[in-house]
Amino acid sequence: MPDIKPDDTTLVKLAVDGDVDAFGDLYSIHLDAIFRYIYYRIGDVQDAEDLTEQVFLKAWEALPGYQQKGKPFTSWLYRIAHNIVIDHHRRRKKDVFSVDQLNSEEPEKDQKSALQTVIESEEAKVLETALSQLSDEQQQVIILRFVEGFSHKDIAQVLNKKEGACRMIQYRALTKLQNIIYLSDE
Amino acid sequence: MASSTNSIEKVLDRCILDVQSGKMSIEECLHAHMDIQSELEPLLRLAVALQEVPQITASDSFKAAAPARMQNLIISRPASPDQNQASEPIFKRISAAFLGLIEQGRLQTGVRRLPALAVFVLILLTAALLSNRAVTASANALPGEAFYSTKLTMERIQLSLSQTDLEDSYMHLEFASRRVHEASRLVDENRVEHIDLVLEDYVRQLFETMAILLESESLSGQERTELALKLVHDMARNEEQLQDLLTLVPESYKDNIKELLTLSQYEQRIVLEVLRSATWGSGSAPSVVAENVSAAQPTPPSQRATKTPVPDPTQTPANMTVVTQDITATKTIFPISRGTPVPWWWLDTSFLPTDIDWLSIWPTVVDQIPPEYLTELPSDLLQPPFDIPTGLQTWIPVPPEGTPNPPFPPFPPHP
Repeated sequence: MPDIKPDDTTLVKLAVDGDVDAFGDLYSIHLDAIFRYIYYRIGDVQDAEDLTEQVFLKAWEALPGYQQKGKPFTSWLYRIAHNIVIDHHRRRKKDVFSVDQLNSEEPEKDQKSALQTVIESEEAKVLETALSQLSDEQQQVIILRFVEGFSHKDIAQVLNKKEGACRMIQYRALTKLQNIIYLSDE
Repeated sequence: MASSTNSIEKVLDRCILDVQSGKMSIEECLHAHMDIQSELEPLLRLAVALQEVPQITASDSFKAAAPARMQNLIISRPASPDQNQASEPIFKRISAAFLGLIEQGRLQTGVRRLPALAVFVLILLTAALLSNRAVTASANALPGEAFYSTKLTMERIQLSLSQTDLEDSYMHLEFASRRVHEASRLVDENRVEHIDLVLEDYVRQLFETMAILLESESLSGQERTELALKLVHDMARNEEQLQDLLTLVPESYKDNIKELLTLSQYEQRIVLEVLRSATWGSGSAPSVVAENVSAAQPTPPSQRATKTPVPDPTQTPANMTVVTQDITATKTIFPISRGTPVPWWWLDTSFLPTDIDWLSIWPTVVDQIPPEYLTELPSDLLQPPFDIPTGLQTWIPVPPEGTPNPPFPPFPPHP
């Protein structure tokens, strides 16, 4: 469960005091979850790995600030990840031309095949493609709720929203996702 | 329809939890809610399917190398992390817009009062166009929401209806604080993509207030002093909120906020210096300010020259009184703590923040200089292209270490 584990709290305290090993443990514990969250929002394994690293780097730098705010570590980490994903999308928007150029070139095929070996299932790719058509908030709710198994209470903390609002976002996201999948099947 | 939707989202969530916990099967849930079964079924099946999506993980090679790489990154982290510049700095856009407004004469305050009939017509139009409901709904609106434009329209109407520059200035301050509050809410709601919009308007509202403070002919000395106090106080308070935002926004938004903070600090210093000089208008300053002002200036304003010449670059002007107590004397009433304020016209390198693009804000700086002094400034400092650091240091000498600050020169008397 994503709720704060007692050892998380202890590790965070040690990390705030500059204990790199404690931070390393936090990194190991949350690495896959943060990677998945980012992957499902950007759809590229290599980029997701790079951004995951950035999330933890940012977290390390901002740890003293985290303690001041007193927010649950997991929520805080997802918030950093969310910001980094937004940055990534902004950068991508600016680089549309170069991305298009890249897509028209041959090396893309190699990248695709490498990607295929990393993604364990075609379903993950299908889900990522469908998710990319949802709004930012809807993506977050679907990933946190169904991929990561968060409760609405946990999601509410990450999104700074009320539980009822998260439930409503979930309903709308599922409806939209269902339409997307239905249309793609036709 | 709304209640039905509300009901479905709750039922759906209950069913998801029940299926997840094994309490019920999908079919049992659907059977229990026959009335909405057709709508519920695809969503419930999709939700269950989503939970069965494979838990992909980062590649093994990445995970194997990750701890060591992270440790190296932490140790060798550069002091200034890479910033993704997503947009042109606020300063560039705003200062250009601001100077444009000045050229058009729009910032000359006190000249656009509406006649009574026009006000009446405006009120009628407003009532017709905006229902009470819309206006109420707009109060909490944020950029990107339907009622946000209504909110801004209401602000413009409020400004049009005000009768004095003083009212205008307090409204601008209020709107500036609203923008900062909106920025905080946008961050809270993960909608940072709109934040530039509100911060730009924040700067605009500050400029409008500054323009009234420095240019309006209708303010008494007392009113001007009180406005200056309020301006500094509000800017300092907003600054705290902006500092908080800095820790929460994505990297690509941080530069704009940092520049905004620099502008805010710069404007505060100008206002504080102006306050200290106490040379404007005939009204008297509030007692707490007057005490600080008199403590900071041994020579009473009445005995000083009404117009102080631009200092000789090679020496401390002989006709200026040396101030032995600097502006920090007022910090009990102003929450200013950063840096040592010096008069803006005696810029030395210690005053210049190192992380600011002076080229981009120079038009704003020049705008704060009284016109009389502009004529005496080297012309290459007024028009781009110019080399700010070199130009400034040539024209304005860095005073020897330990030289106390001279008093701020009085603003030229209004005609």
